[in-house]
Amino acid sequence: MLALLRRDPVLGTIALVKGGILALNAGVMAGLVTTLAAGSEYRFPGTMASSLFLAGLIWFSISPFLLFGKARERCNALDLALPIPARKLWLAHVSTLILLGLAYATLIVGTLWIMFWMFSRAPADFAVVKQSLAGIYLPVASGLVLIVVLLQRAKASQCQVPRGHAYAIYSMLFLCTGFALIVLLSSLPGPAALVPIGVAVFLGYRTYRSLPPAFTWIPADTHAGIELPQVTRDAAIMRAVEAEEWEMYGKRGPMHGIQFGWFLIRLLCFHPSRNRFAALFFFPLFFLWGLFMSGFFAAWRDLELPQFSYIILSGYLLMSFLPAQMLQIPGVDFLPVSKKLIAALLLIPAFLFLALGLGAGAIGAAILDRSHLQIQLQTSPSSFIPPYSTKAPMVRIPAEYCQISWNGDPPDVAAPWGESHPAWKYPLYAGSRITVYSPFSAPEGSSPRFVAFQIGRAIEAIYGASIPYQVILDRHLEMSSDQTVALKDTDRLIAEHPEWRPRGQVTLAPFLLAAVGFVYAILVSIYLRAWRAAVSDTRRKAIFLALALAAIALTAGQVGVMIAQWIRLDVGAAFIKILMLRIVRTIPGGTLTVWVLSALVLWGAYEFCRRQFQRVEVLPGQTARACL
Amino acid sequence: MKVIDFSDVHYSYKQGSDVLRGISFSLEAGEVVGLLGKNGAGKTTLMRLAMGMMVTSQGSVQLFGLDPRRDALDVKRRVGYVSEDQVLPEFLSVGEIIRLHRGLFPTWDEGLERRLRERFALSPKAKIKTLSKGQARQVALLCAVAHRPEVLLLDEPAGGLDPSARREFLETSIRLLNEAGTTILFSSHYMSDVERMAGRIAMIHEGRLLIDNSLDDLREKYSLALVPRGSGDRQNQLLGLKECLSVRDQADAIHAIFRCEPERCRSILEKGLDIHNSFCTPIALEDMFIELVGGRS
Repeated sequence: MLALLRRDPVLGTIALVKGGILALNAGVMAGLVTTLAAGSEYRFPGTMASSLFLAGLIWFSISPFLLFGKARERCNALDLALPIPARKLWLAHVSTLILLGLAYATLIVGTLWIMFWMFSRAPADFAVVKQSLAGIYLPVASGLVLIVVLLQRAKASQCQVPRGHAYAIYSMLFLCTGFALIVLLSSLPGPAALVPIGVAVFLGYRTYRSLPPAFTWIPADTHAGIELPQVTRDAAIMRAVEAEEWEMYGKRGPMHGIQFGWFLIRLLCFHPSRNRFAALFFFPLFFLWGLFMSGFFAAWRDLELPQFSYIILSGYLLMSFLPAQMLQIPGVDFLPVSKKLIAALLLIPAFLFLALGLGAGAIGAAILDRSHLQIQLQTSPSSFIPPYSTKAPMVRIPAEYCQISWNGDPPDVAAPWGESHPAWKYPLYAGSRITVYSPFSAPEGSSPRFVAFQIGRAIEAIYGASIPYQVILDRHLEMSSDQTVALKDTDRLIAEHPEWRPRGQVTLAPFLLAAVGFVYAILVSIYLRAWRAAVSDTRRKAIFLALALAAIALTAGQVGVMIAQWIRLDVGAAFIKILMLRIVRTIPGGTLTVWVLSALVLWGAYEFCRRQFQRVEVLPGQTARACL
Repeated sequence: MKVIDFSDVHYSYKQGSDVLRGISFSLEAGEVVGLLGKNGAGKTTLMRLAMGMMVTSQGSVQLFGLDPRRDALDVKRRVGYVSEDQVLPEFLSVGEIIRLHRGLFPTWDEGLERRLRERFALSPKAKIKTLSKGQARQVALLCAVAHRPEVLLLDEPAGGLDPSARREFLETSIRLLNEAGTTILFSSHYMSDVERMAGRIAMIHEGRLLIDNSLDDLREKYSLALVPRGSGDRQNQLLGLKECLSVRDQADAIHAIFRCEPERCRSILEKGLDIHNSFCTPIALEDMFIELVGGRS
């Protein structure tokens, strides 16, 4: 039986490793987004939104490989020629799909679990309320088993389910049903997940019993097997019709310009290794990732995202789509199509989607930032990734309004009436003299007047508006029963002053784009060197996996460094933001110059990759096994 | 004028094991050359090097005096290429793929396109993915020849075609193009096709060019000697003769290929090795291929 599982068509395709990469990416992304969301510890865990998000991410990451592509094929021609009963082949195929699906789901959930575990080992500041991963895994596994069995009941007596619109609709229906089922199961008690498994076993057994001794052969990758209506028209009419059709094609003229460009995009971007569904998954993923990196989701939840810590991971995400694209090159390599054009359409679209997400997110975040006050009075110890987590109440401001003290000795903040407090500060890394400090902090023991004074200073620094601290004290602050100071309504101030715009709002987009482009270029240029005819498939795969592992290890290393308390990610992120802001303000031309410099870095990185691409040799016979 | 020029071409897929070891030959304008060699001999590699899809480890390849890597666009616009593992974009229809080629090749001949598509009975709306192997090959052939290329590189072009379609292709496309002065380099395992179409044969064996002669020369100037086994190491004795290309120990006798006419072959054996009972005969291309690639050389 194990031999039958190993030779199953679905394992002989790109599905195995590409699906694994997709699952790993999904796991990392789910982990980061969930962790970020969990940072606002009051809102996220246990809500329907989290279940939907996780279930959706897991299900839609694994289902392309279980519903489409080779999942239709139960065996190949060789298997049919061997004395293997159809029942055994059917059972092996169903088992392979279920095991593969469970492996993907385990990979995603495992990645999530590792991330949560790492954060739970972190200091109390980073304590994350854990998601109940078992609560997600069981419904996914249960839904998966049922959907696979239901799909494999279609045309069960044939060696493959015939391709066509009917099958596409059937699959999509089950794809959506599966998702709905998983969401439903995740809201029910755990044992409810056993019901779909029971149904699957029952239906599977009935199908198994009904199978003939041997499958009926249908040629792979054709529409054969579907009974087409016989054309009754005579040959002369057919010829006339074809002649008309040819005439119509003749009138359309040659494929030029946009049409030709669209053909290349379809070939190189949306058709990798004939798995269009998976390809279509990647581009929205890049856009979403860009949106995530822009800090949009963080701004939505009123958090600060350490965007620069995701640069390496972003480069890896973009590169992970490249191997499948490379296999499309033989489709145009023999044609007089410029290699520059092929390189551009191969390397730029993925990056462009990420850049679009980043741009859209930056705009969205800026709008969100305007809609609420950028200053908060924190009255309880903060949790994961707030700006400057402390165990004391303080005036919270966006990272870029903090300051750097190079000698580690920031000046105390003194009010006109003589009250003085040291500024909140934190070293850049353990033992460092360089500290990041907030000149607007109001530490424990501050009088309400001092708090109002600091809020007034912060408003002036951020919005350029001056409000006497007495007004703030009288109108906007209140004393709670435990004698702590609180802002009455954080959005009231901004509602009263709709003209306020954050002055120091710096867009990190050009810096992020340049950094991601640079990392992407390094990874791609190393990987492209593996695309020589003289490089063995094994070596090519090893290089890809080494790059992937290096990228993931470096990202994990950042988390590790944070957990070891060697550096605090929020402080590091603030340090970078302050520096970026200084650069923007210092260099002639400001933001425009930064964009130009960023474009130059990207252009240089692209040219570097393009030169490597010139030397690429992709042989027509190479399959997915050659690169993944 | 040299249209294709291979000069001391080396190529290796693995370090230390060259698949091509110093191949040098050239094609003049209008020549039709059949490239022979057993599987893995390096025929496809040579074609891909000529198309600029791969880079030589050593030596150079030139088409029209241009480097097919550096001047890729100029070269590819003037070349038609069909390979045994050609990949056509599956999502396009036949009509769309022809429109694509029309746009890429300024010299596209719509008249020739029409003649070929009618001959192959191609339907414009049929998607490439729904075509049989033979039909897909016909589309590839049409695309390769309808722009009237100056050079046609065909790597096993007839594989997958039934005999009538193969004959039709050879006799329409190749002949038609060759009459127009197209230079053709094609590899095939069908010796009858090679004999019918090629004026010259280049045979690669173990990475080297074993034979580069006109077909007439091959028929007239090569012979097969059936030499009885005798005392001593007769195979090495035969290989020691400079006219002997290869030897193969068979059940009936030792088969040796000589680069000379049968009369002279007999004389060499008598004078050189004192063998008087050998049987020397002209050799057919297919037999020569089998003897050469199967024997020691």
